[in-house]
This record gives sequence, C-alpha cells and structure tokens, in this order.
Amino acid sequence: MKFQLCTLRLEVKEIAEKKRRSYWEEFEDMFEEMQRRFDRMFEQVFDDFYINKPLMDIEQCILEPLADVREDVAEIIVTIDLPFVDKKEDVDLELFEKSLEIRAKTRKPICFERWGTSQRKIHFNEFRKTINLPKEVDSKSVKATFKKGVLQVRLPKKVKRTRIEIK
Amino acid sequence: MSFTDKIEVTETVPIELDNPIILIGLPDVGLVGIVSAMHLINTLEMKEVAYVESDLMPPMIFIHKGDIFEPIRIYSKDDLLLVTSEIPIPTGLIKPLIRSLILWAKQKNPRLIVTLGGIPAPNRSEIDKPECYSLATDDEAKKQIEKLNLQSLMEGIMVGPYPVVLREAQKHNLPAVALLAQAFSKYPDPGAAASIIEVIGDLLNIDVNVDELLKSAEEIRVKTRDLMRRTDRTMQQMGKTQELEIPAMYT
Repeated sequence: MKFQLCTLRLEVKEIAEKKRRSYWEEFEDMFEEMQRRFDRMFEQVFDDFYINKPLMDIEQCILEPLADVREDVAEIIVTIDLPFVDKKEDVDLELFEKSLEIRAKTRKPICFERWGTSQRKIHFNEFRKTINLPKEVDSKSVKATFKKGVLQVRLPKKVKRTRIEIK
Repeated sequence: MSFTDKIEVTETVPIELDNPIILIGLPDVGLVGIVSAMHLINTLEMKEVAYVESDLMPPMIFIHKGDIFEPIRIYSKDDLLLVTSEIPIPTGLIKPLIRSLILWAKQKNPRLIVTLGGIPAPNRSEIDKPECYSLATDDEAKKQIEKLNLQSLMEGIMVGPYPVVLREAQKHNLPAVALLAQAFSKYPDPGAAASIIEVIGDLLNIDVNVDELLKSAEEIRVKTRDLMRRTDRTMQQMGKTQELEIPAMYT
C-alpha cells in the first residue's frame, strides 16, 4: 500500500511536471509567434521608411546605390550597382559585426540639375551604403569581386555544422 | 460598374492609323520596358497623342522642361503607337488597366501588339550582349516575328502586366508578342534595353541607333534608381519570384 501510494505520488508529480512543461512550451510558442509578428511589423515599417527615403544625401553630396541581399544555406550574397565607378581601388568595403559598409568614389562628379524640390545644380562624388546582415558571418572567408560597375560580396555564414549519421 | 470602367484612354490628338503596331514598355525587370520606350520616343521623335486617366491612379503629374504629363502616356509616329508608364503599375490596377488598354487597342485594329521587357539573368554580369526571347499568342504573331530568329519561351511562369497583355489580346483575337531581354532583375539595365530596341528595329525594318543609349547607360543607371526601387517593391508584392518556379502541369 505504501509502495502504491509512493507510485501514485510519483505519477501525480510527473503529470504536474508535464503540465508545467506544456504550459511553458505553450508560452514559448506564444512568445515566438509574438516575436515573429513583431519582426514582420518592424520589417514593414522599415520597408515603408526605406521606400520613402530618397536615395541621396544632398547635404553631403552622397548617393545611395541600389543593392540586393540574397541568402542561401551557406552564405549571404550582396550585390551593389555602382555606375561611374571604374576601379576596384575606388571601392572601400568594411565589414562590421552585423553590417557591411560600402563607399565608392565616382570617376567624375554626377550632376543632378534643377529637379524635384531642390531646383539647383548638385554634384555627387560618392556612393555610400550600410547593409545590415541577416546573420553573423565568417569575416576571414569573405570574398569580393568588381565587374562592369557591379560589386559582389560573398559572405560565408558562421555556422556550426554537425554531420548526422543515418542508421 | 467595374474597375475597367473607371480607366479611360484620352486621345489628345485624333489617332487615325491603319493597322498600327502597338508597343508597350512598362517598368518591370531591369526597367527594360521604360528605358527602351524612352529611347524610342527620343530617337524616333514620337509625339504624345493620348494618356490614361483614372481615379484609381496615384494623384501625381510628371514635370519635364516645364510641361506637365500624366504618368501613363501613349506616343505615336507613322504607323507605330507606344504605351509607356513612369510609375510601376500597382498590382491591383494591372488587370483593369490592361483590359482598358486592350479594349482601346482593339479599336485601332493593330497588326501586332509587342511588350518590351526583361527576363532576370542570374549571370548577367558575364553577358556582353543580352539575348532576347519571345512569347507569341497565336500563329499570326509567330509568323510576324519569324524573321527575327528569337528563341521562344517554352515553359515557365510569367508574372506582371505583360502576361495580362498577352491573355487579354488573345481573348480579343489580337496578335501579340512579349519580347524579353536577359537583364539584371534589380538594377536598371540599359544594355538589355538596347538589345530589345535592336529587335524592334529589325521588326519594323527601321534603323534605331542604340549608341547614345549605351553611351548614357551609367547616367540612366544612376537616375532611375528610385524608379527601380519602387518597381522592385511592386514586383515583390505581385509575386514576381514565382517566375523562378516550375509549373506543376509540366512535371
């Protein structure tokens, strides 16, 4: 009888623990869903902000280039369109922990004349852009090429890999 | 009242053409459509003859040399009509707009409708002269472009305003063809536009010089960045990436 009671207590304890775990798991799921929704909202707001932000800084005479960020299992591939940039020596690339900064000097000033709200002549001499990277990358294995005014940077992701044996 | 009823083509000059060819160049992959359209307008000295009016369009005008313009306009020269837009067509407006344009085009009894576009080429940086592909709606359209020796698109998915042009033209028995040049997807691509223009020159038996276009390619790439960014966003919203997928019916 004593033994039975002990088993019963153990079972009750296990059920309670399972329940606690499932509550905790539910809470975790809810939290993850909230996080996902928040991320989506943030992306939307950021996207709207980005699309409404002009691709130039008139005060600093800097143009923002068009860039594309793609991601596959192993790496992040960033391509940037840099018209009027001739040589790779004119491109300055800096990798930070979570971002990539590009600065490129144009071979001649790019002139925008009497347009939009500005209505004056402005010369731009430089492209500049900071790209936020979606994942941590292995800075030692980053490779960059520059061809026909298009810069491509391949950034291998920092990932721990474990081979799983199939039995 | 449908959305199509709310879109009107207003002719500012009476258009009396006999069997014209109608070109359509809209913002799409690599801005090939709009860049080639602008070059054709300038080189052939085409005149604005109509514009699209609709309460569904964003409230905006374009200013050029002190004159004002609607975003979607139609130009003409000899037996050629050209429809172009300076804004990416919002996803919800694509079908009603194209339906209205095709209904208007039908009244002109065109011998061919041609869309000017790009097809994303992942290795575009390696390509010196982009190749052009075609997709025709019927035998009549195929016959008209036969002499161009273009590769036909055989299978795949097309997303955007141009597939709607093809389908609507087909519904009204109007011969139509989509021309697509290999292009950068997310950057303005004047090189791809030059390839399309050369094909148009061959189709129309006219010489359209693309040297100036290629010379000013860098300037075009800089000055159309904002339009490219907006177009890219519109393409994402309409699910343009589905073009990379394989249709289930061919598996």
